[in-house]
Amino acid sequence: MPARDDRLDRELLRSVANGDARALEHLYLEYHRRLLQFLSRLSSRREALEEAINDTFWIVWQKASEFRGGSRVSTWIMGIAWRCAMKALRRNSDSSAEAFANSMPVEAVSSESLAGEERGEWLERGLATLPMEQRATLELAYYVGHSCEEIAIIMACPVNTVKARMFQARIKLRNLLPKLGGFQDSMFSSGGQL
Amino acid sequence: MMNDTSVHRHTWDQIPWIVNGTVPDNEREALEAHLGGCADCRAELEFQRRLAASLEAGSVCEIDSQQSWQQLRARIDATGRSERARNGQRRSRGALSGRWIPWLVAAMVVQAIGLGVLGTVLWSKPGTAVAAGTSYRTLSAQEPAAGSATLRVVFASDMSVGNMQALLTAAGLQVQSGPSSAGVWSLEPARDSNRSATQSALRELRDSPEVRFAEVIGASP
Repeated sequence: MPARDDRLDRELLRSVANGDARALEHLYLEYHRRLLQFLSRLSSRREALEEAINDTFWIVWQKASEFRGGSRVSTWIMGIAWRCAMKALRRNSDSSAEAFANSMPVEAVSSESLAGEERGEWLERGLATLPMEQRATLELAYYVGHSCEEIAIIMACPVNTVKARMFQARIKLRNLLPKLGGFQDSMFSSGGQL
Repeated sequence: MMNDTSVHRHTWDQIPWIVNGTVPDNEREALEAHLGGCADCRAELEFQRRLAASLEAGSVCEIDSQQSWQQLRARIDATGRSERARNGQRRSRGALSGRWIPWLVAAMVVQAIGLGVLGTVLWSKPGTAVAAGTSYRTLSAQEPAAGSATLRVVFASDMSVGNMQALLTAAGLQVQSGPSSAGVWSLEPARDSNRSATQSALRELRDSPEVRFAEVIGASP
């Protein structure tokens, strides 16, 4: 996903801080897709996704004047979305991430079993085996395009925690998805020193 | 200075950030140099590139962004309305509890003194109804006791002076006399005394949760 133009986002946010609902609408429509993608990794319930997105922009509407410019606007908004999602998960402990993860197989996917399946399905299965924080880290890095430091801000954790989550996610996926994208098993036969 | 093992480890750690283009520029050259000579890191880089591409191409559930926006917009509009209403009430309460209260209290004192003086004059005047001891009336009596009073009302016992004055002002009324021993106040129009104004004032009084009873003096029960 292409990076957002932060100058444009800042102008929009300034207008939002002045009570301009049209500027909020613009930001909302621009961010809807990426928030949906990000939050889809945390919950599979459509209502929960809609609620989290609207709660995020409800906070943006109320707190726009408190944005001090210490990060990109996209980092600020994704951080709000992460906190909203965490709150929603705590509120509805029977839903979302855990239910989503539990609906997927957790054992390693063998080359044979992958043979007839689509790449997207392999990936979904693999991702579902990861803890929520690791899935979110991957999504923020690869789909949204945030740096390690930005993800630390979004998830309100140390940079080293982000690095550790990314490391663990990679190791697990590497073991579970040996044929991702047509890879040959032989590519990993050397053990891939670290 | 990093040795080969630590360079390898550092490069391996940085691969996701190479893939998404956020690795610091000042590190890029050293990382590329290591990648050029390390098949394992190149394989991992390729794996992560495919993983990133797959994530980007992944499908998510479709939600109509316009429809969701309309829901948020409705929430914002509804909150805006209730906040305006709250601010209005706050302003109204602020006006009454702030600078107007001393004046209202003073006005009530002056009014009480005036009523006291009037009562004394009437009491001392032979032939008046009061002096003759014929002033007793029930709430359902048909005729008003005193000339200009148009409404009788009983307020809640804990109603504040400020709220009472605000209600009377809103209804276009003022105290004509009272309270009686039964807690009944006689009210008269503050501005005009035509019938429709009286009816609207009556509605205003009856709408208040702090009014226990209100009726037009002389109206049929």
